[in-house]
Amino acid sequence: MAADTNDKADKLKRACDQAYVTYGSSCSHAVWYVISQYDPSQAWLDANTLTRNLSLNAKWKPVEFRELSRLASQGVLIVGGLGKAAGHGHVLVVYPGPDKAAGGYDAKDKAGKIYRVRPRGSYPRAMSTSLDGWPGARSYGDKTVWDAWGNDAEFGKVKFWKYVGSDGDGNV
Amino acid sequence: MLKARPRCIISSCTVVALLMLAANVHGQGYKGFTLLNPDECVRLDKKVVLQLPVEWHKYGDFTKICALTQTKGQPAKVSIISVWVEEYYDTLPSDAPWEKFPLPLIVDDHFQKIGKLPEIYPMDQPRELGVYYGKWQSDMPTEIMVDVYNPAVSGNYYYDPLIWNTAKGTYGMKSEEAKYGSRHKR
Repeated sequence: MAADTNDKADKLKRACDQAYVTYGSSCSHAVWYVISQYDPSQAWLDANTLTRNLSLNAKWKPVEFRELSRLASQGVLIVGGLGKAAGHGHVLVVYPGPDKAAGGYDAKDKAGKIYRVRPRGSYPRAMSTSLDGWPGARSYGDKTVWDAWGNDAEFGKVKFWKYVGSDGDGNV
Repeated sequence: MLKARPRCIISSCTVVALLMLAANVHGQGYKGFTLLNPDECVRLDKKVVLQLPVEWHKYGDFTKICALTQTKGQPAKVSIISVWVEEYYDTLPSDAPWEKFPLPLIVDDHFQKIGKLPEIYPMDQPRELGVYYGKWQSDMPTEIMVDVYNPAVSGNYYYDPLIWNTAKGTYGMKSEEAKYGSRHKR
């Protein structure tokens, strides 16, 4: 049982790491790559469309925030995302491992001055990529699901779905 | 005649260019509004900080006041008081955690609260606020606008303007919800 869980978590971790390397500038492609390791029939969808699709797709079920780290560490594929009415939304995968503090990395302000994004809270880890320069949106498990949005109000709107597959338990 | 003509053209261009420059300096795109410059804000007297609610006291050395005036140097009827969070953190170790800072206050000339900003000015990591004020009546700006530069994935947004309510003696927003994208230029 423990070995099975470890195998599943390793599979998820490997898929996330590969997605991060291969699709470092497109969140939707990186997430699509990970999903395709579980569901090869999944077509690429942009972030806005994917978040709508996961809400309606029987292979995916909504999951509570408090369950994210535990499930991801058991190898359950979980996608989080928030669409945007005007413009691009953002999607990510919950990375296996224990929660960690958000922040704790450097960023540049509007004038180009480097500052430290201060640690805050405790959140599940993320695999996230982005075309834009915001470092919080680039993570291979070293940042959290909060960091891409960097804002409590906005993060509060993010939804998460776990992959349950056709047989309802995420097996392929 | 031939020599006078180019001088006239250059002069017209110069006037137009100066007018455009002046509009940019004062409005940054919002006609009749001034962009608050954080460099013009000054440290708030500690005695005044101690008159503010208790959550401000810890940040007394990093609390500044920004006068909203139509003309530089004129006494302000309305000011903004805020914690300069980055200056506070400059004094702490790099792993010092984020704290729950008080939101900026809009105060009258007796330091009485007449409103608040929705986020910390000038920076509420990772966001930076652009505060514009205008529509003057009796030396008071009757409208304050907050635009937010947000480098994170959701991008820039803005809030409904803070409108002066004469009856209540306060500034208020129609809705406190962030609106993504750019505000309509006026």
